[in-house]
Amino acid sequence: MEYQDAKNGDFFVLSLKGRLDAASAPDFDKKASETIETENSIIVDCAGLEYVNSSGLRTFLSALKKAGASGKKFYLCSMRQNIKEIFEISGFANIFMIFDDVDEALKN
Amino acid sequence: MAFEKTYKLTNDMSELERLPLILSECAQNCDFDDEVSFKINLALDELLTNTISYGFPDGGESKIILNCELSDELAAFEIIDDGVEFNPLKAKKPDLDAPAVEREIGGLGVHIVKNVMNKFEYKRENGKNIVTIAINLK
Repeated sequence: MEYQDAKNGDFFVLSLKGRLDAASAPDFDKKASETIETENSIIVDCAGLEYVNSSGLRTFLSALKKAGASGKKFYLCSMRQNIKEIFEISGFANIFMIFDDVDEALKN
Repeated sequence: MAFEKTYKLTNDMSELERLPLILSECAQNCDFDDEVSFKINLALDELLTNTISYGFPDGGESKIILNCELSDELAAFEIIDDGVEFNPLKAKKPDLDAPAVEREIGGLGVHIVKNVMNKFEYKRENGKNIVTIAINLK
């Protein structure tokens, strides 16, 4: 998994590229935790996310809980259809704020 | 076009990295699209992760057999291991409606497999776990 960081207004945009699975999940968990500690409003841009399994979903949930516990915004955007389908199957589409693209997320 | 192949894996998490290559070989021989390949990869990933993580508590190297049987209509896969008896179909169901703070991740992998595959069966035979999954190609 590769990461790209960018500031966009009040938001910190973390862009993902690659596969989020059992092998890459610990690294993403660390990256997300560090970002939540230092930033107040985070958008995770999933346009480059090619694959996610339940290990990856676990890290997304963990990050959402951490952000929620400290009153921070943690949004997801730009998911490919097959990734979005896994979020829907898992019931995660109901607990995450998921936007079509970064611009839509920025409006919130 | 039909394609049959047996892959020999071991109970090591690094074996999961072979899945994209295995799926690529299957896709070349049976002409299924990326969406189907994604679903099969995900289902095999979840099932093998469970087997490798929990099936061999005593450690040591064990073999896991992956049989692939593809036709124009169906892509079927059989995972055979001699680890601890585990019927994934009896795994605890996740509470999909729980709010974020109460959500637990347990059982989610099996739930995903059930939803992306058209067939999902388990049997215990001669001290082995045999899990069969299949997806319709037409």
